[in-house]
Amino acid sequence: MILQDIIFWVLSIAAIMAAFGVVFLNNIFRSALFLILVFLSFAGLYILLSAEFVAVVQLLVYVGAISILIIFALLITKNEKNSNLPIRVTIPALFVVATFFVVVLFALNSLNKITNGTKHLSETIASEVLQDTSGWIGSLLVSNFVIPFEVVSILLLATLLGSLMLLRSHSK
Amino acid sequence: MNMFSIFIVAMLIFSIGLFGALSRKNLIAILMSVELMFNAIVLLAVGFSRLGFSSILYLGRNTVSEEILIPLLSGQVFAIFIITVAAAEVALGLALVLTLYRSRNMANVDEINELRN
Repeated sequence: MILQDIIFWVLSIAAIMAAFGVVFLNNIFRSALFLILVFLSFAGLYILLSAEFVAVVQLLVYVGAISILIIFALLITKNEKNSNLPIRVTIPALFVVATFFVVVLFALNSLNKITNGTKHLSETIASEVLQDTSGWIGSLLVSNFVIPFEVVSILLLATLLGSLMLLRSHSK
Repeated sequence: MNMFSIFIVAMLIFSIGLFGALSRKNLIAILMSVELMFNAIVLLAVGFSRLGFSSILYLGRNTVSEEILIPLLSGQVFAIFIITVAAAEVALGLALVLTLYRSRNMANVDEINELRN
């Protein structure tokens, strides 16, 4: 348990520091590299939460595809030295974020009241249930969640056609 | 590692991403901040399915059955859907950025004024 806590906090602090790097660095290419670090630490957190399939999907989709896509877009567009500057509304944005965070802390307080006195899933049951989740996730995707599954496939097709249309319209 | 620490970490990442999405100038930087927010929500879904309210149902049970597994894995299935939608969103967003860059030769939000008057 102690080892799990140590790994959790190391990964979390790495993710938070890298997120600060994504948002506050002026060089946008370094921001993209810190974004990859955020994705990697989140994959570690999913493994820690015994969600191995989600961790592998995170590695494949985020670290493998989305980071490469963002870096390609950065290389195609004009890459100045300091192109990640803030716009003039930084103070109102800070106000909005602070308000949001205070509201979330109140929600956390009520969450604390609700779950007070209840315990977590006992570790023996957890290790038994969550041993081989990939097969269960696959059967859930085609039984209980089959309608969102089909809708997501239509969404992916629409995205493919939409991005092709956007990029073709200028080349005529 | 309990639900509260996961909640705090996810909301910190979400707030950082929200601040970036509101205050950056470059469109690709805004997309990266939106990716941070998506990741925070996926972490919340996975964390609640593992340590949240659903685990109260299983206290005192000794056998593993399907009715235990379905609520316990729903968060992971939601996480997979969110990741898919995020991938579609970033592909479409980068296509928009590249279209804008082709027509205007820039990718900053404060210079987009095609709809003004």
